[in-house]
Amino acid sequence: MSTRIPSSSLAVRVSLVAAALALATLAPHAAEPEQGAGLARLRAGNDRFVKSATAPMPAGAASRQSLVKEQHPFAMVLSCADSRVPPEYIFNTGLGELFVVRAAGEVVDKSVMASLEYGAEHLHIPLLVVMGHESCGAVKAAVESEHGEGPNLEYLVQHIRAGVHFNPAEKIELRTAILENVEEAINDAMAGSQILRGAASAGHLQIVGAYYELGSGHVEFSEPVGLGTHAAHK
Amino acid sequence: MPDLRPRSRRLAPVLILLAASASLASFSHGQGVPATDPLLRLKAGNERFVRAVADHAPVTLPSTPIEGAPTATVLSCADQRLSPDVIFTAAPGELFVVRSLGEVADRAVVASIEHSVETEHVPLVVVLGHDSCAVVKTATDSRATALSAHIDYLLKAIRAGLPRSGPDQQDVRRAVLANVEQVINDVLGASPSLRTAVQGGRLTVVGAYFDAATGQVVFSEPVGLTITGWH
Repeated sequence: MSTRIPSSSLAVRVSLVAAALALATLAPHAAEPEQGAGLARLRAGNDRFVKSATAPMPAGAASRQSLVKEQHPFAMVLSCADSRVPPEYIFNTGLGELFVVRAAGEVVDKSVMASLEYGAEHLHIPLLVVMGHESCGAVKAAVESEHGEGPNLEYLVQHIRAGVHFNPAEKIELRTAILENVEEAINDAMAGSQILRGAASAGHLQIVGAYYELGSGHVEFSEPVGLGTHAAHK
Repeated sequence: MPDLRPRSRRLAPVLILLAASASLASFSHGQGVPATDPLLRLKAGNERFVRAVADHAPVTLPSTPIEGAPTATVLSCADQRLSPDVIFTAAPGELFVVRSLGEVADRAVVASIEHSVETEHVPLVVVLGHDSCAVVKTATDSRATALSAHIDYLLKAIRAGLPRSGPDQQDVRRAVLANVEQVINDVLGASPSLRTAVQGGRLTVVGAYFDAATGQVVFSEPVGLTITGWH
């Protein structure tokens, strides 16, 4: 989106919650809320990937039959377009299981937003994972380069910078910037979409941040992002 | 070849005419596509997937990351029934993948593709539609209304490329192909650097269509930027 989210109480609240969660607690944790079945499935798939990256994907005829018919994915993943991070591999899922939206730096723009809304509203997907990854070239470019080349790349750079407290005088650790960018993407999605806010506050949609380590193949998840109650933050 | 740098508003219609003649007429099983290596690699990868589907076998995906830059960029739908990496049996590192519903190109999508071409020097961009695309199907229904401004944006972007009328208006395959063309035009129309790359021979852009029942992907001829006439 071309505009920064106005500081409505919700946006600020989500921002605070996400900040606390993503930075402080991006770590595996055992306690899942009742909605956590999808998340448990992603964790199990990622464990398989870490242990044996060659696990064949069940895309044979039995599952093909169900593909042609209508099928409901159990999670949507917003992740980077980087060639090293295909979510279907990382979570060892078959076709038909994940609704996947990808843009460089997982930047939330109009099509991305519409895709997430469609996933929540029409496909009733109960889980949204916003996943950054180690050595993200898009985030690196945003925190290191002065400008993007041309208006479109400059737009991307500015968008990422808006979330990572960019200061040219001060070197920021890339991992920190990537986590901040994940938070920013979650905040942009929530603040910009009544549909996503509504689904989350009604308990139909769980949202978590994630960080993929290229070296180990391991994915760390944040605590689910909470919206709190409207009364609590007035 | 004429200079195609954007100096007038006529560029977009010119591109539309060219892409239309290139992709709609010639969606086929790869005949007539020049033997550029990245494209052959994709086709070979898809053949492995198609065989696995036909044999009722699980797909074994390469797990060793490839060295160096990705060989192609794929812009596809977010639909759960496809994954570019899986249907091309690509190794990690092989494909730069951008995905949005109906493969609609907003500015971040265009910038992502530019990033792959300018920074990672990817020589091939594939815009991939798929059969039974639900959002394209929704867009073909003129009575369908959007629940939000973002979904409205998506439907309008898709409708802009659909055939205006005719007996085939409800033909989803035709609508998906028309949308692929529209997206190619949107991406190239919005990106001077991608147009320059195509014109300079550094970048090939093709449309493609995935059939979930067989697993097969068919490709269009490469999209050209040659001007065939002024209007």
